[in-house]
Amino acid sequence: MLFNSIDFSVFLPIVFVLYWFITNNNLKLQNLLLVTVSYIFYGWWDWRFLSLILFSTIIDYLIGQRLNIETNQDKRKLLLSASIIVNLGFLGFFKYYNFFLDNFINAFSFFGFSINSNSLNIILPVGISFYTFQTLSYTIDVYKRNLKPTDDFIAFSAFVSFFPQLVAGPIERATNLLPQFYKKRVFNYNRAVDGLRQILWGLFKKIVIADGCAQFANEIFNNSVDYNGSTLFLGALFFAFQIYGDFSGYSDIAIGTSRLFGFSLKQNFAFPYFSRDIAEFWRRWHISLSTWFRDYLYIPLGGSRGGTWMKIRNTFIIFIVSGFWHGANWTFIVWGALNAIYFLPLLLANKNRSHLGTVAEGKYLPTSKEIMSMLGTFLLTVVAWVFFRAENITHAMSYLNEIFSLSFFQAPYFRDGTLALPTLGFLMLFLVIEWMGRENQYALEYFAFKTKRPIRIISYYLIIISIIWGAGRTGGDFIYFQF
Amino acid sequence: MKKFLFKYMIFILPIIGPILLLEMSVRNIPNDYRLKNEYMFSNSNSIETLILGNSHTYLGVNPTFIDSRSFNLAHNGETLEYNIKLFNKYKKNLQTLKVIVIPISYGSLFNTAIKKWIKNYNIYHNLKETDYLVDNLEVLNKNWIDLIEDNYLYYYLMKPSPYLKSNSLGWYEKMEDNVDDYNMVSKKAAKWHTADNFNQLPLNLDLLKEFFIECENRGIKIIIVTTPTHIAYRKELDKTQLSLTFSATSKLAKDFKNVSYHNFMDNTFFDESDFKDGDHLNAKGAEKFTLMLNKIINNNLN
Repeated sequence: MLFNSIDFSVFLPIVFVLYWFITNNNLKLQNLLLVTVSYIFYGWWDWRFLSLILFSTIIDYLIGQRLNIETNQDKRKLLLSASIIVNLGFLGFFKYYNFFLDNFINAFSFFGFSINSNSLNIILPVGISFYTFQTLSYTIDVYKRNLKPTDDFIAFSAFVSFFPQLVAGPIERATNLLPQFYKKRVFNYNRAVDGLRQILWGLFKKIVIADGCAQFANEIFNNSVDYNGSTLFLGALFFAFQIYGDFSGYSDIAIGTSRLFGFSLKQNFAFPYFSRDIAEFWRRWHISLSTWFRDYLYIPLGGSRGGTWMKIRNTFIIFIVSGFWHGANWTFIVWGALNAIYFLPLLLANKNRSHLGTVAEGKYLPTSKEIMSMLGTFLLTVVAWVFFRAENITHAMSYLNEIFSLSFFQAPYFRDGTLALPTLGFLMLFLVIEWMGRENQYALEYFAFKTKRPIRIISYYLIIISIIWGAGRTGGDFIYFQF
Repeated sequence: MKKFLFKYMIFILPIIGPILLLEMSVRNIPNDYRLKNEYMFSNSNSIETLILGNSHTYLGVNPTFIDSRSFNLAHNGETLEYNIKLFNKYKKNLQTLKVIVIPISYGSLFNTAIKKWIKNYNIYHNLKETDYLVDNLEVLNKNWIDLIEDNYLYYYLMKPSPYLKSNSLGWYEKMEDNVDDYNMVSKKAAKWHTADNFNQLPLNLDLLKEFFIECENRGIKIIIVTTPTHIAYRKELDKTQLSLTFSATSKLAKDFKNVSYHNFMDNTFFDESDFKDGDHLNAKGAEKFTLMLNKIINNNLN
């Protein structure tokens, strides 16, 4: 079920009423309701893959309990390995099997050996990369004794399958989300209103910004050979905002929906396009994944301790694995490696933590130096996004070649280009609102505290009208579903 | 909680209320999709010949001139995929069906469904293809000022429905006048129908093969037609795409016993006065074409 679907618009109010009016006096029943509706939510897409979630849930629940009572370190390691093998095994099979097979065959044929093997027609279960990482965080934390394992299977199942963030994150840590299933949730008016406001902003980002930009990004990327450098650059800009609006929009809807049910999820995007360097960008983009890799991969590998080569190695590993997490394609690996290359100079010069606060904090406008550094960082990410969006490496390289050619100085032109004007207008408005709200959890939160009631209400209505307008022009899947 | 729900309703009602009202009133105005859906539910158990397809058969085949009991289920811009989906939707009731006429036009084997028409199949034929809001609501697919005007004309001034062009047998009756400049419109139409790539061809052929097998099992004969076209249109067509269309369609007819192919594309029996534009017959042309088709249908029925 998609957040921007008619089914979800019926599903959510029904669940809300059942949750707060029917099951509110019984915590177990309320958690059971969440598990049931989460399975319905997921099964709406393909019920067959519910077995994967259920299997993963049972395995990690049992392993968590065994880890708690087991004192022998070797056996504990074995249990942790079992959890990792099961979860990454599912991920590896469904997501990477064909990639490895094809590359294996290509590598052999390069050396003159011919191998006959057919790729399997594998459907990638929606959200598998998200929920496997979420359950893994549980077993790893229990293994490290950072978390006490749960005895409550229903609460654990609800943690693994919690529908607002099941298919596209944020990837929640068991330490944050799981304890919330143990406590009775009390309806809080202000929190529910805040949740609705964040859902509204998420829908605006997805439907008006992301889907609006997608039309033109798709046209330009899919027909890139027909266009000059300036148009291709515009296409890359459209994609940069498409992916940001799409994914951060989803996160906003997920976090807002969770608030309606009395849950608090971690912020997943913190205005990444206002970052002053790549290190700051990665602290603000897909925070739940970046911190996951930091805590469960980068730090165990030694992190930034050790010598220069160790730092370089670990940086490349974390960025390449992060790229590969997004998809079984060399384009994602190059995207990750490119970000590592951007990041390394800052790390080696010990400048990767220069910008920990918000840009121009407490001010209306940034300084010219801040503008230049934000622009520079943004352009670096745009170049990297070309690899992320391209069909293959050759496509990405020819796309970038054209951007960096003299045709960049020609006027941009693309099919139905005039239709892009409203989208560009909304993009400008969006950037202004994001800038004003950059010190909040999400931009629209700014309006809740800094504007008068009539202006606030009118703004909400205008946003709703623009969402309806946007929904009539577009309508599509969330990009991160495919990951 | 009550305060939250009350305030939420008060907030959302001024937006959702008018939209729902507009949506309901638009859906209530008769349209071709609803008419055909209702006909298929109430009369499908007596249909002997079913016309599927796109605008080429929608305008070009008038069931009035067919001897057997026929109905034209074609819609504008309908792809082969949706032709088959509609057949599958109503096939349970089509117990007396003996012949299906399906067009394969110059663009048929290469195109995919047009986004803006999907809602018609979801809303009126209950196909429930996608659950995106845009694919399930009229108000998200049309200009609101036009919708309000259409409502005003239909409900207040009692004008005929602007969305209903079909007669009771599903043929496009309320035909517009013939165009003045056949060359110009043909050029546009040919460009529109020429595919960027041929990726869709194997998928469409697979769909057709599956459909033909099912029809064979049910004892239904298939008549594939390529409808007549104006010379101005034909000269604008891409030769590779055209020859692929003919060769793939002829092969299908050869491979399936219950399938025959009749290519009227450059039939000399039709002159300019038979065409509404470059690739669509007008009422006069439709009568001539349907009478020719009727003989083929009768041969298949005997």
